[in-house]
Amino acid sequence: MTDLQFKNKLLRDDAKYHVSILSFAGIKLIVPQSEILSIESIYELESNEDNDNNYIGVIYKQGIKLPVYCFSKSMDIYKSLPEDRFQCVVLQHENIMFSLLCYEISNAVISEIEFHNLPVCMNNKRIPLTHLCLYKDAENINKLGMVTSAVCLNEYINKLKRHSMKL
Amino acid sequence: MKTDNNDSGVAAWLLQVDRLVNVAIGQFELIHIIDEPDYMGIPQAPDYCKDVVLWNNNIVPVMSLASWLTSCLQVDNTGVVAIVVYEDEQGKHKFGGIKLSSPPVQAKVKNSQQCQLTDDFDKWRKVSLSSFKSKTGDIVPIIDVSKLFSHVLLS
Repeated sequence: MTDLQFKNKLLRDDAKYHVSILSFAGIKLIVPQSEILSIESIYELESNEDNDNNYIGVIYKQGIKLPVYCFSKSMDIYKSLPEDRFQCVVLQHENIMFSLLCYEISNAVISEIEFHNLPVCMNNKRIPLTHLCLYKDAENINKLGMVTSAVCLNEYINKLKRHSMKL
Repeated sequence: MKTDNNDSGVAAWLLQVDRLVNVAIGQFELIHIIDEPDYMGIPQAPDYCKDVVLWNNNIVPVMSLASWLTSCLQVDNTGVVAIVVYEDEQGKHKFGGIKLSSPPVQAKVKNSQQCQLTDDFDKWRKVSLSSFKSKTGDIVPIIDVSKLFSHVLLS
């Protein structure tokens, strides 16, 4: 997806950028609001009885069993449930659907956002972000943000799974 | 760095990047110092470049050369970051940050001080233009800032 396509994905008819902010372990990920299918309570989480221990549990959405992933600050996979996760966000893009455990999920409408590619010197192709961004918050203060998408997170999770299978 | 005919030396900045290691950059490459910036940690980024800062509306990647040298995440930096300017491969001006152990110091570097990097400094060959011996006899690599902030350290 080009930068312009990504930007357009966030733009709505009001010419503002509609994003969701996923907070956990002290980090905040900005994702397109259109990729949030639903937000579920942690009480919907059922334990993982599969052999795949990359996800922490499952939830059922539209009759489909979805894996629920839980990440640390460095976005390594947690294998046991931390105390500070209260919500499951279900992300969807085309046929990709999965859930992440978050501390908090909020929506924001941003009037100005500037996307930047990841700096060349740090882009080791493992970073689960599409862009970094500069935006103005509700108080018109410049902020730094980390932008990702359902596709990007799904690819990242698949890489982690392949890596853990090799171990 | 260019010297004049009588070898009175050329101005440079000495950056202490580790308790034991100084590096040098050109006088005009250092443009600002930030004290204890608000870092934003980038998940899964390399340990030596895991943070960015917001400076003058620019997203600036911050290098910890001490982490790079020791391949260790926890290093003894003071919270001072040198903001440097460089040209990327497309010739665009970009900004980078370098974590320091102490505030930068100006120095004059003479041609007569030039020396070779020893085997202890092997890692520096990837990102140095040259090197010289300081007044205390320490070898000081002169950093190619463009290379430092390119993909070179990733390979």
